[in-house]
Amino acid sequence: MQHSSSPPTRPIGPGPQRVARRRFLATAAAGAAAPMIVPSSALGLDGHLPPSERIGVGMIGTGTRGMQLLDAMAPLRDHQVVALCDCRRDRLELAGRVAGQTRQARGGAATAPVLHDDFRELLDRADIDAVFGVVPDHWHGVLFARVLEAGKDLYGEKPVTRSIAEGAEISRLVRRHARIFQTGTQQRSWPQFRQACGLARNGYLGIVREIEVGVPGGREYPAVASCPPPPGFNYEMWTGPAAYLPYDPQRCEWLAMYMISHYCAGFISNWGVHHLDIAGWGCPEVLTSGYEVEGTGTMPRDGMTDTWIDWRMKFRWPSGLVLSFSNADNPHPMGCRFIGDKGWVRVDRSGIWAEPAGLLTVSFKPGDDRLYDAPVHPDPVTAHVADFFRSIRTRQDPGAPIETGHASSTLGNVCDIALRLGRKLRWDPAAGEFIGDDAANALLSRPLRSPWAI
Amino acid sequence: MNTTMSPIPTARTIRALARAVIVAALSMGTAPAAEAPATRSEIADAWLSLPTYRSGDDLAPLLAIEREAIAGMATNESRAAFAARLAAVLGQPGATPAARQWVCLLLRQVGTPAEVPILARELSGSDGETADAARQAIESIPGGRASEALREFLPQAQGGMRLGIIAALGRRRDVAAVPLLAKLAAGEDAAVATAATGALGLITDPTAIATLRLLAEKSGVPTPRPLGEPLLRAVDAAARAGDRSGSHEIQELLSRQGQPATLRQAALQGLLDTAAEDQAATILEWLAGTDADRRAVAAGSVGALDDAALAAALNTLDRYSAPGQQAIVTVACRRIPRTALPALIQLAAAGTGDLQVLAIECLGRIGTSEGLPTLLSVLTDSGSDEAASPAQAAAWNALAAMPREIVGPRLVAVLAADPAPRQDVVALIGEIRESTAWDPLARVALAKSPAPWQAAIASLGMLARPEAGDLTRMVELFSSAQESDRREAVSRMIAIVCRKSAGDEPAATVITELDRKGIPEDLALPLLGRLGGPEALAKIDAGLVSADRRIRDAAIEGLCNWPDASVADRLLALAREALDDPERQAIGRQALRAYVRTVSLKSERSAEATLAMLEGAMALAADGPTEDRGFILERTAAAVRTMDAVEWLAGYLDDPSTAQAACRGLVGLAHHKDLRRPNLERFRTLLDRVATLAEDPAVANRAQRYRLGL
Repeated sequence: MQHSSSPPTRPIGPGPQRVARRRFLATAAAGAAAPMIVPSSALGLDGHLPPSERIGVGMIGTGTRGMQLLDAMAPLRDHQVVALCDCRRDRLELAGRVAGQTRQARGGAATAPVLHDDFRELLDRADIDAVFGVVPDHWHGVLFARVLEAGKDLYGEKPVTRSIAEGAEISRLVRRHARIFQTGTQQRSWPQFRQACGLARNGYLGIVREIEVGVPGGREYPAVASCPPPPGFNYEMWTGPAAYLPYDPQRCEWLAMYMISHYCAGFISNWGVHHLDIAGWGCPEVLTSGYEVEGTGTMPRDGMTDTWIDWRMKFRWPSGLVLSFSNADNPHPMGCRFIGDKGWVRVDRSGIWAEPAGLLTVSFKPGDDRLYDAPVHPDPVTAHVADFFRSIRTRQDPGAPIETGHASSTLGNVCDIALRLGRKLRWDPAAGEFIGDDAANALLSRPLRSPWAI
Repeated sequence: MNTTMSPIPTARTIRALARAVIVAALSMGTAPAAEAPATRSEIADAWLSLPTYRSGDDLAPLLAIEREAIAGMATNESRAAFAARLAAVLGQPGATPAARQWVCLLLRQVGTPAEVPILARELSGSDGETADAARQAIESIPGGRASEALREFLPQAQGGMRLGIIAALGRRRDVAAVPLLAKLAAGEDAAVATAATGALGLITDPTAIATLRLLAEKSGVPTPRPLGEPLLRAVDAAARAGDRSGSHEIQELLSRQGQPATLRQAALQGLLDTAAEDQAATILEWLAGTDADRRAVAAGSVGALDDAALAAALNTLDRYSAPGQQAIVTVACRRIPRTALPALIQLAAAGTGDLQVLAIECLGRIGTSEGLPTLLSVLTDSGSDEAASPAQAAAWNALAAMPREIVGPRLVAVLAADPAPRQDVVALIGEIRESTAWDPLARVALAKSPAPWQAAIASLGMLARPEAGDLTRMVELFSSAQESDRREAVSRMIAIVCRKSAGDEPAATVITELDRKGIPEDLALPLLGRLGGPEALAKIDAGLVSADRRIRDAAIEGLCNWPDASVADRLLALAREALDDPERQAIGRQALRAYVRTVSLKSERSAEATLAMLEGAMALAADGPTEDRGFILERTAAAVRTMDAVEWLAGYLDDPSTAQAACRGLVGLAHHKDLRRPNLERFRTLLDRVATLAEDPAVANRAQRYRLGL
């Protein structure tokens, strides 16, 4: 078998296969709606948990992702969305109606959750046990810190933070306050990713010396004239700890928001975290050991965005492991490919490929390292949320705990810093800093706009 | 010539400085890694236009300077030169607030102590955002000069700037600021006091710790929230400094009854972490107690128990509350699976509720044969497999996760012994790809209802591998199937299995087998249509001119089953011809739907061409049933992502017979942000109508979301 260093864009070998459990297809009527964990001691007569036994959920951020998470948690019966928060009134009200309809559909009261336009009010509520933090990246550090200090468990969207230092602080707070933290890297609750990482971890590929990761590249947007924000949009709150720039109709919206460095490091981090995390799940050294990284990237030359459009990065570990990371098809296709001396496996959200093809039907043996398994659900986001809820009940870490979330997020942020400094960097994960580079270490944190602080 | 240096750089000096930056970078052999630097004239123009930059302008000049910043970071000298040039813009009286703010924000990255004085002057500027950006830049610059500037400005700072400077001093761990911060922390202004205690919590030198302790003692229980986190930081700092008793005293205070739960739990966690010899006993005692905060902390600390204590706790589970029980079971499963097995089996068999489910999940994770009988028993013992209980669902998933070599033979035995096996058992065999189960599955696939024959055929499809000769066995099954619905299901599965391998070989195998078995044409032709390819088409063509009507109908069905658009013209011709004949309307509809299905598959054809084809189909369906027109509209929305398609669908909102399908199609198109975003105004108008018209709440809901940009 040959292993080319630059594989074809379209995977060779067998076509993509989905690794998905059919349980809930076979018993759709009951299974999909069945609770993941249901204490019978707390069951009401209708088979639903009484409100007092449900996890009280608050969601901060009801944009696209927030709505997706509301949809994802709707089939799970062991929670109740009690409050929502957003600085855009129209989105908040719509989310309130949707959550209210869900509650009504499961036989509860027709009342919608309480709506807040300031997250601090939501955090003051005693009826909230868990918070979903679904806000733009530049808010993650401040918001997550406040949530944890308020004693709430947290489902925090990825990347964990906009800067590496903020991520370290969130990691400290999670442990100091003994909170459950689930990173929004839901691929860890997706069977095909678990299968691929299990193959890499357990020697089915031989010794893995190379990993290839591809994610969507950045995008340019033309400059747009400033104007007043629309009624009901608290743009001051939206900006929060980021630099305040006059409002325009583009900067707070998909996808421009992800391409402006004040709010996000770009897809090199925001999307990169997903498949870099998978690289680390399959080869733990990626997340736990020191490495050097260098590469090239391209910035926009005009318009309103200032993050990397495309990039080619190379990480090297002392063991000889090499991870190359690019935007999709430059040269690596979307996903993560582990290349060992006995075979390879590539995985993304559309399927899993391997050579030899028999790897796809490997059934792991009792002695194998069994990777963490989330509760099974056809929708991996629902499975990831169910895993979070399970952890809240068992008080044990979920599948994407803070340390792996922070380490995965760091990989993308390190790339951004290396490109902005134009040089090779060496990262020491134990110290949480670059080796011998003061300028790089100065970029570990980003000062926050007053009055926000962590 | 006037040789006096002007405070405002001229274009010539700017160009000279730019060259110096580039030369400095290149002389170190460190050309920017990102991309080639801008040309000299681009750079010169960029620097010239920077002072006049206004918000909303194109970032081009700023991005050119940012690329230069990358080069500038190559050496200390080049960085200093670049930073000085950047800071000089702040000295230009005509520089806009937007330019000044941007310069300050970039100085966060490239600034040096030399820029502190000019940045400090910005702190008192009239533009609040620029002043705050200057504060951020100073905060980022290492060295005492920056801290001194912040301290000096603090007394005159007001509002948000005051809070920002206090926080900056904290983040810089500026010990010299502690006396000032201590005073502010005890002051009347709540926001300032909160910021100051936060800063003290970050500095946590002995004086800061003492100040925080004093504040805590003074305020009593409950400790005010702003003091909580700084005190916890003080605890950790004291412990790091070797002051264990000081650390312990603060945690004792914070863990008292009456403290806020979050603070109390954090303090209890700290006490537990530092409890040396009696930690295990404390965890178990707290788990068994009635104090909710202690129980929660102990449950999260179960992992700290040694193996023996963990095993003992598992065997005395009844002593503990629900969170403790679940924590013990979860940790035991991961840490001591062999030891935990008997208890887990018992819980899985006789437990209740979530603890039973958890134990079942654990048995699947451990994956050894001991748990197998219990899991099978839970799966099959009670209830119908149409309405699985949480325990049954968990058992199914656990069995699916176990090694095939352990589960497979046992499931095959169950299947072989049961003439009417459960559907979930049959599905499970497919899920684990147990290849030895072929014969019993085939038996179920052919058995009379209520045998779960659909599940059996699906499982056979999951097991089947073309390279292993399984298509021969699938054709055998096809030929044995008597009922038409069963043949149809097997036929679909054969087509799916063929696509597991690239190339024509699988289809050729099926055709050969159909011939070899002498399958009648009226049965074979619909299957051949699903496979596609020239050989199948030749047989269908022959069937179309057969004298036997059954064979002709089967050939038409085969054509309508075709997997791609290569026969689209023939389907359209067939539809036209049959729709004109009152006796062949059904065939016409079938052909038209097949035409729509195939032309709306992904192809190299232009969107315009596809839309025109579907519009043509709509014209043919004009007098037909409503559902056909709805089908065409929805397939169009799935296949053609253009504004032309949007407008075409929008035209059907006014017709009650097509309005609902048009609504579904329009929200389907609106789902694609790359289409919706540039045409948001038009979409908003249409989505408002959809939200009003749609009878399906889910469609109306989606319309409302997309209208808001979600």
